[in-house]
Amino acid sequence: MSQSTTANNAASNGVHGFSRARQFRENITPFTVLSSLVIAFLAFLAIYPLYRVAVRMVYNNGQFDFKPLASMVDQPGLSVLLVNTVIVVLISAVISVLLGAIMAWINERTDARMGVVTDALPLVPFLLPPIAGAIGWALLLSDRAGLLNAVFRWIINGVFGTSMTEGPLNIYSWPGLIFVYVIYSVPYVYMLMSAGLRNVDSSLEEQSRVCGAGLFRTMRRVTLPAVIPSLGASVLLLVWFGMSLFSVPAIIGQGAKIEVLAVRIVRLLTFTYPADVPRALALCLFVILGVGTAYYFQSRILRKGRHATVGGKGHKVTRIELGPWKRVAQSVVVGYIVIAAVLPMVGLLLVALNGFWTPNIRWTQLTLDSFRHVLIEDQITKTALRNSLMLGVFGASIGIVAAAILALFVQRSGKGAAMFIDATIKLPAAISTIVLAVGFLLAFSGPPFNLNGTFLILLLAYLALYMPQASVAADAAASQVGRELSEASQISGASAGRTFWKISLPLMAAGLAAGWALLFVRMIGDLTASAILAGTNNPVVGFRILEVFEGASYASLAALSMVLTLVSMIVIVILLILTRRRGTTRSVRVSTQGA
Amino acid sequence: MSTQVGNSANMAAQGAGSAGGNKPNIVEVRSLIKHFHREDKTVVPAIDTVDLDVHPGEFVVLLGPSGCGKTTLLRCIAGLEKPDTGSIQIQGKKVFDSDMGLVVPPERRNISMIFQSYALWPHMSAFDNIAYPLQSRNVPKASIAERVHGALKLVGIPELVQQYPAQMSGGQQQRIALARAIVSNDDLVLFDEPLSNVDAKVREQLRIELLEMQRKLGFSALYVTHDQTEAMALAHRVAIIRQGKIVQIGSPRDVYERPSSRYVARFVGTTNELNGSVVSPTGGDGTVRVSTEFGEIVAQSSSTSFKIGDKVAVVIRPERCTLSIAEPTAPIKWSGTIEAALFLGSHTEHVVRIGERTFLEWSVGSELREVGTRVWLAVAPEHVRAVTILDPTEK
Repeated sequence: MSQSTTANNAASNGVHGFSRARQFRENITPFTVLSSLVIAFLAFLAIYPLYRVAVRMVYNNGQFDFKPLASMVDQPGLSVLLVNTVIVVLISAVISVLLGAIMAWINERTDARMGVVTDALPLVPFLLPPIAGAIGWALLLSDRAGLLNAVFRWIINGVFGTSMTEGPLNIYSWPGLIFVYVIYSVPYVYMLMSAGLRNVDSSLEEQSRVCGAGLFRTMRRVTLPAVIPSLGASVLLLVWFGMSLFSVPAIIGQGAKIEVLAVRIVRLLTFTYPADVPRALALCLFVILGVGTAYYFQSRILRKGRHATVGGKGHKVTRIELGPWKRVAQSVVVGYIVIAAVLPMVGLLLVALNGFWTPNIRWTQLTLDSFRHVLIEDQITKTALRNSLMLGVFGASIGIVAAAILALFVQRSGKGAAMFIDATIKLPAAISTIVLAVGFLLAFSGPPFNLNGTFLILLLAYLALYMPQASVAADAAASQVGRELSEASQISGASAGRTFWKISLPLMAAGLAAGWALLFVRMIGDLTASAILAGTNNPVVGFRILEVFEGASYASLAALSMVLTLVSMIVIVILLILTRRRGTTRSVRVSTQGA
Repeated sequence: MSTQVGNSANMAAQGAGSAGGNKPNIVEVRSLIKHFHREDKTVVPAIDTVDLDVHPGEFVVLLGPSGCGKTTLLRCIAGLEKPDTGSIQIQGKKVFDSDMGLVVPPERRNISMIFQSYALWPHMSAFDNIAYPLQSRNVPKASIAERVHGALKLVGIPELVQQYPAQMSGGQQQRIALARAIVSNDDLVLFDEPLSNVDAKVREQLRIELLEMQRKLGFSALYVTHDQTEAMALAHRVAIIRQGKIVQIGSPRDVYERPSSRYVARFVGTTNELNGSVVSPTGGDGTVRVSTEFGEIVAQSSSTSFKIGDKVAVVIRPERCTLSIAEPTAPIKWSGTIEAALFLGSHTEHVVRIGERTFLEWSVGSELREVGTRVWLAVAPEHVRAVTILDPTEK
């Protein structure tokens, strides 16, 4: 009796296993294959260089070598270095989130918005590569030769009859350093927050106002919780960005004698001979700790799942009338744009036109010589510009679509494995860009890939480096598309691929466009990875800027930065106008209907 | 469009009778179980051994309070969620079977669904929204426009064809969702509380239109709601769900007039209740003798298996009670005092205190009695019902 029962069980188990396998085959669609391949490729790009770096932590030249781990405590001035980094990153993050969120709210929710101009202008500093912006502000506010300082002195000396020869401001200081960090952090917050606000039904806010809650109570109780995912994504992005930002602390920090982690890592690897790999790797472990903490908190915020999502019901945006505060709100936005973009660009432009850096501009002798030099005469710069543009377009497009596929995969499956893959692909950013670049050099420049000095190694490196940024933007976009919208597509008989291209992707478009712009700018203005992976065979703009900077030719540097800025600005403004137009025309039609 | 309407009208006539033994059931759910794992690691049965049939052309409503598992059941049938064990068959084709390891994805189940949020795609016009299921199912391009316009006409808003969801009212969005669900002529349409987001007037109007459309087109409908009026109005059969189990399924009149448990009696209407225990088992005439605080009562039995000593509830609907000043001749009557009298438009309500209890009495067109008046409350024996108590801890 018991025997036959066992036999029965075994038989039914067999049937079980067989049909499950068959069913598994039936459910494989071209899209699942495609997304699996994309995810596997991303994971390889992220893991393999990292693996090479990890191996180097304990193993070198055929034998064990624990120097990197020992170096975690064996660093000259380690505590000062860590404290400096934490202070700069955290203080600039707090100020940036406040500023960025307020400006996003002003532009998305109030009548103080000033059309497409206000949409595009907060992004302008984004288009000015950080190294150019840092140099721009150094040109403006350095103690003695700063152009802006010269103007201040002229006013003060004129009014009070004093004879100041330096100051009154100095960019080479703690406030100066944090100031430039904030300028470059605010756009990240602004982009994510405005995309988030655009997706939150403003009737939720109206509901709160109707319930008797005032403007500020509504912001605190309704608007803020609804954009929590965007806020979390912003903070995470800022920690990432701040931890590995190299150019600003390299320029400003060096002058102010404030050293941070990223600068020390780069210095140990590129300006030390021979490169001190063990110490650099040890510092990277501290960077991982910082970013890991930020990621942990962000994933907890997203998992709570109580934030607003785009429902199936279309929603309309109602703008809050600020009354007399409208002018104040507008001047906040205008003031930021002037400080972040207009002034450093003016500084760069004056230096470029003047031919060299001095507070005494020769107004009658301005020439376009430096522009002619970088655009026409200098062959390497021309090649660098073309390479960077192509890398920006290809890299950003591939990167953002891949990130969208990944985001949806993680969101829909939500299993441990998916979370693991997600974390795996995001890991490289925890390593500062320069270390991943070293990993790429270790992994792909030699056999069997032999990609040293090619366009492809840069494209792959940029994809791996900026995938986390793309991924954060895509995650936030995906988490705001209501689940029922893609479920309705499935029910309608659409395959997974069709649902992705027809429903998920277009609905994520606003968030993805912002992510694309972000990727494009980061890739086109990349400095640290390019310094290691680019060469005279495959020059890019970042590499070229570094070379020009080391040659201390401020006029050429200024001219090159201006060219780069204009090119990126044109591309991104076109993109923004295109994505904006679809939304605005629709809401305009709604309002005319209502009237 | 017109031919297909004619066809389905026949089906509807058959389906409503639900006698057709030769036609396969549209939905057959067998022994379905699904557990949810809460964050605190406890396991909650969301669907607890459910069997359910939906006949061709039949309108079945899943009715229950929020969190009872009705939406989960619907989503399992749609394929949006995967049950733990059991089987689901749609139009004679297995779409889920835990023993065979079979899970057919939603896009290959050939069903339609209307979501609570309507799930209209905001980046598509009404036309594109409605055309989408046809495009997904490779319907020839030529006939798509015709069918989309046909569906729009059917839901009564042909003029909105190029509008986007953000430009529509809630009722209009609801109609577009309905058009999208019927455009592909699927035999099964699932509804997940589709009327809970529109205002009462529109809801009533849409309910009538939905009913007409279902009876006309003849699709089978499985409809989830927590609103008992809605369930009564729409359903051929109502399934009342409690903690993942179907506790009673039957016609609206059945579940209202012959509830099997206190839970069902309360959920589908208002009740007057007496607690008691069985003193003689169910007799041949289908009645049972119950000892209550008001003495022994002979009540209609909801079960043939009541044993002596079983705790039961005696339930009486307020509209079955009658009030009089003089003592009536009816066998079941109690004397009490009017505690409150309310005029509610369509009917009047009297709250009558009898001993420790208050009873409600509803009647149409009668005068309000003065508070404090001594009255007799009587009820015909066929309207007094003894039912099981599923959850004794419920007050």
